[in-house]
Amino acid sequence: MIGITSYGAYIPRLRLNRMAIFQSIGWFAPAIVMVAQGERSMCYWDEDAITMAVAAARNCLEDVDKQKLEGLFLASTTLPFADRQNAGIVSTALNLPDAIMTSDFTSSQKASTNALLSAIDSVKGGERKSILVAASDKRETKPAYFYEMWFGDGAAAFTVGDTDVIAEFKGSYSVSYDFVDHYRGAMKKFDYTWEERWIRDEGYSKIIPEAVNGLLKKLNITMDDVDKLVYPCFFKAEHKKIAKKLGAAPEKVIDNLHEVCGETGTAHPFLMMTAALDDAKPGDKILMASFGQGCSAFLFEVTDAIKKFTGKKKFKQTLDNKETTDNYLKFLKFRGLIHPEMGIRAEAPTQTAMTVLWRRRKMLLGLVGGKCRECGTPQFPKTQVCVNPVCVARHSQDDYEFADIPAKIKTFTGDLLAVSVDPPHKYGMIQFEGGGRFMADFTDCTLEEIKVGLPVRMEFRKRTDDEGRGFVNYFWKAAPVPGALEEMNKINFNGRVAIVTGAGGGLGRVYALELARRGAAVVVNDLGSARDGSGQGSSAPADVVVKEIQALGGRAVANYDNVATPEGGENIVKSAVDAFGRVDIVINNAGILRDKSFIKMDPENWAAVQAVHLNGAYNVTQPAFTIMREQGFGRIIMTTSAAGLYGNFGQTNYSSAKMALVGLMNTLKIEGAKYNIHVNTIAPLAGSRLTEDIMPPEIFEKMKPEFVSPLVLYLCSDECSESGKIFNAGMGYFNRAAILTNQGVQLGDADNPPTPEQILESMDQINNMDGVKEFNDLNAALFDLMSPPADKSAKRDDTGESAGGLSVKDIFDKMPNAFQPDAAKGVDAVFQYNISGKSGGEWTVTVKGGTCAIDTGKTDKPTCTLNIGDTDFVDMISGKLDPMKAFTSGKLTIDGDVMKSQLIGKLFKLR
Amino acid sequence: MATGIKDKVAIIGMGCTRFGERWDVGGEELMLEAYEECLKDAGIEQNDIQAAWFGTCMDEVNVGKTAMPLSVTLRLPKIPVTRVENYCATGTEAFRGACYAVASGAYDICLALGVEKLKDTGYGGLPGGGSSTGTLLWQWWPNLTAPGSFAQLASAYCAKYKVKDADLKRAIAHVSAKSHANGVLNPKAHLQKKVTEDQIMAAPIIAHPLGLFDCCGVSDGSACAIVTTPEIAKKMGKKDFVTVKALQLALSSGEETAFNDWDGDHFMTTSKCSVQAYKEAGVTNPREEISMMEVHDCFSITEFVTYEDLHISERGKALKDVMDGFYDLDGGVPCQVDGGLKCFGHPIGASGLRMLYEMYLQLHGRADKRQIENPKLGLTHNLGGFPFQNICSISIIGKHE
Repeated sequence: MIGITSYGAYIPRLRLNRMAIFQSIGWFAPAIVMVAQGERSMCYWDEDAITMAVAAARNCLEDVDKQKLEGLFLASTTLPFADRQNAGIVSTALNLPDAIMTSDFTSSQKASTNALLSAIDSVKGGERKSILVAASDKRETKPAYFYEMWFGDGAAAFTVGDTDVIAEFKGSYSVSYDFVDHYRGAMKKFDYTWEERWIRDEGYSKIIPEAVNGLLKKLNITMDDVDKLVYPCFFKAEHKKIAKKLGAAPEKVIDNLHEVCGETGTAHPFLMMTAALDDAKPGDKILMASFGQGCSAFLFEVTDAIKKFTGKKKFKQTLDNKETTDNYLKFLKFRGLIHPEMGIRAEAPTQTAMTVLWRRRKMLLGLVGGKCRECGTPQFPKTQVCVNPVCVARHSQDDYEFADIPAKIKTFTGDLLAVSVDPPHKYGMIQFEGGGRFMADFTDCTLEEIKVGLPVRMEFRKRTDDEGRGFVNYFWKAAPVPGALEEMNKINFNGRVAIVTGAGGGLGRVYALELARRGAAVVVNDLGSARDGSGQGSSAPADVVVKEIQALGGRAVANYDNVATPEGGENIVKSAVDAFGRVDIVINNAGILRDKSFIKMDPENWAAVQAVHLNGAYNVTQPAFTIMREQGFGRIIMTTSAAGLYGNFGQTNYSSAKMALVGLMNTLKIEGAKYNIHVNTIAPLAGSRLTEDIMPPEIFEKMKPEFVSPLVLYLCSDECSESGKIFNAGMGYFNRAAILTNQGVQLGDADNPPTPEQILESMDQINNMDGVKEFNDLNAALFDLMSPPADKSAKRDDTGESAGGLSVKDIFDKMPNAFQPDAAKGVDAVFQYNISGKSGGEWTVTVKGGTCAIDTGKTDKPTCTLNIGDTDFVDMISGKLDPMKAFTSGKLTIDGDVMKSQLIGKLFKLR
Repeated sequence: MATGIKDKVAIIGMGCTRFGERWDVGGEELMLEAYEECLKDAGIEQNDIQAAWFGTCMDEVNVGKTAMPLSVTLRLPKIPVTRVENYCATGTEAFRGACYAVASGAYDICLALGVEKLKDTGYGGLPGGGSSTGTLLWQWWPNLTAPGSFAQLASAYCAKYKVKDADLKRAIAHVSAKSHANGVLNPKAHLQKKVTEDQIMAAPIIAHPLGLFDCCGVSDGSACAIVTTPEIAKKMGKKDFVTVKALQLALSSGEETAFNDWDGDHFMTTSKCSVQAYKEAGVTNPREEISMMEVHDCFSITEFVTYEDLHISERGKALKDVMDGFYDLDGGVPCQVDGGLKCFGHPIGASGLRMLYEMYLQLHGRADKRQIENPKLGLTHNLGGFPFQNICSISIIGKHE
């Protein structure tokens, strides 16, 4: 059996929204809107027919032993070299065996099917057993042209062989005509095309049916025997009509990909065929035809072997890996259709030494490095002396292919100084799994997508176009693995060690599980006693949670100490350090309840609750804090309660302990601030062992700890910037509670202390919560208290006036008097002021012929426009805000002639 | 058994040009400007110089190859002159050659001179070499620039020590602000303007996360030294002269860029080179014993991580030291006392000698407004190349005991 043994597809990640072409240049070519549906694929600046062919071939070879390939045929009409075999570059890039026959197939859109036919003939003839056939095209058109809309870039590849056939070759039929729908003269950059209506009616709709019907007749079958029909035709309507003409039901026809990709030239029948193979079932008969100076039609029958490709969806994968852009200018720049200034730096010589390229072809084109036989270190490049400093063996390295090994970013930058087609130029150190690294260019990504640790894969891309010498350099670059960034941006606790007290059940258990699930090593502390803290305690609850964590593949140890004693706290922290070497997170969650009305609140019940909640938090946090300070990192959670924050009948012991924890946090946040130790408090509302039998079951169900834990996890993360805050959390609802202080009132003076009567009179004012403030510490609060309210209001209100009473309007009123005619000689400028804020507005200052005129409102053509807030403006004019600082800090923005704006200081002397 | 360079070489004269965009002069004029000051300072005649070492780096612009630009410019009387080039360590290399020559007893008095004329390229930054930087290298290395290479230290440092990008950005802004504050006090500096942390942080990005003010200037300049042995210096009637305490050099083996251990956050070479230098100079506690330093601040982040590689800040603690002002002019170990590369710019061949010049002035109490009280030991450090493959040179000089 002979046929297709594997397939691969590649569509560039970038897609250009066709409407963006129309929006940019539709004024010039309004008719192109007719085909401006969807998006077309577009090469990144460093992609061409060769790099896409390599990408499609790599995708195809994932499932084939490339060492067995005996031929490589490359089909394209847009190959970068007219005389240097392009297939040879692809073969070297794929690191195929040296004993291989390679050939380019070109100069017609049916070059791909010609190559396929030749491969089939060769295998049939028995000369070769396995041949790779790749088709790839990046067709150029002038801007603002129908064909720019119709075309897309892409590639596809098949291997043809006689074993493990997934689509058996059943027969072919070809017709050849010198039908010149378009042509491109030798040395010309663009195609010359004839009228579309003629191409449609006399070309596609006659030539394709002739070949297809010829094949059906030859094989003695009818269209009813065909399950899927593949043929190109970028006229959407005509594509459908041809099927009708052939008597094929519409659902058999594979879409021409106009809206999602565009016509990919020579590669298009192959690419559509890969779409058909994605969904093929054993027994399916697929008819594929090409178009270009005639047509070749093939019939394939899908075999059982297709099952090994089930679910791989190679075509769909590459189609779905996309980034859509509206930036038509980028498209033009990437294709060299516009030539922005690149600067003198871009003039650096780019001559390739062929001798070096030949000697190091495996390294440069194939990304082949070395692996040391002595120490096993993979390294790039392969050298004579091993790079491992404790090995340094000589002549010890065997070839080692890096291209398909996963890598991660180790360091990176986005460089705006380096010459780049898509600034900033992005590059950095990449580290391969299993060893090996080098400084690599990044491709097909934005700076925002790059992170240390991001998984990348290697792509064969262009490095430079040596336009003067007509040469193209290729090498390998790193591109982010699709979806990897999303995965990375998840909050994780890798390398972090957490202590969760009272983690045997309820909230604590969920905190522990969720932290462990995201990478933390956890000390699961639980005394295992009854809700009121009584009883012997039991190791069971903590052990169960540890087992649960371990079942998830996480790391955890159990601890059964009592938080209520200093020794217990020490031991808990010690078990973290003993097991995992550090402590990053402490969640003070352990608690007991002994509710009694105050009348019945005896000392024992009072003290027991204080001991677990307040002393417990101290006992665990204190030894942990010392370690956190050393580490320069810590996240501490206190657990308060609505009962503490707002009060609850029968819980005087509990509510006082809970509120005490807020006080503990308030000071601890200050002491920890310098060391990146954040302390926050949560008031959870959740059902747990403490509350299970007090709550109605239906509410208890909604109050799962999972609706609280996300906030706690965030507060424990590196990403958390909060410290000293109190949050309510429950049932998926989150808010912040805070201690706020109002403006108050100043009564009496040094000689006359205020009287109770005055207080009584002023109670409304003292109680008035308008304009409340939050203070970060005692000093801030005291300072505020000692600044009399009268002064405070004078300092700054929101009317845009400052202490001196200068308003924005005043300034412009005073401007004519401040004008310096001497400084205005030869100045002809109009300054537009847009002052935002309550007292803002628009003013125009016109300086001409040694005079000035101030008007309100806007002018049409200002020399420059100054945008600034009202209070900043007043500060700037009154000398409190340096204009340069205002400008560099962004408070002042200037549009238009920035240099002219610097005259303003000389033209007007307000002070 | 090697005994090191300590106290075997005396510096008897130094000279340094004004650094800057010296549109009016070429490399030749710069050489003479530094040389004349140096000769006068040493109080000798040209014919007393028996051999010379010439440091200059960039072939793309500048004075040309070989040591002839120096011998011809100064009309040296057919004496041995050697050109050295070792990227940013070039100036220090010239000094090292001259020191070894007198220490060996081969010559009595030697000259070391470094120069670079950069502002003839037509664009900012260092010249880019393209395929003339090596026929193999350019075919696979990224099209990298100096700021882009060094900027990567920041990404790796933040990842390793879990430092927030914004916190590091602030700390390196302080590094630059501190150098600018020192540069204001130096009439020979290219940039003599105070710049605030906020301005630095708001400046346009050159190579993420480095902004304009995180990068040193690009300038023209020259500096030189005349050296002899302490014995000859004494015979010449010199008192209180300065001697060399350590001269160390460490070059990458390529381990950083091809082996798997380095995290990209620091300089492996500097880490080793500094230990060697302290050993040679007999320094056991650098944080206490080094009075002042000029480190290679081609970029603020370079200086920042170098604090740790010099073992003056502990690993991961440079941020704290910087924000505590430990390296400010009035701090524990004042760094970039003269304004550094930040304010002087970086004419490659001259920088190492320019750093020594400041240490020399300080040790003689001639540093004017920048003068540090009674300095004992001054350290200079150069870092040539890239964090992932480089040359580190460290010198320590001090008063002769």
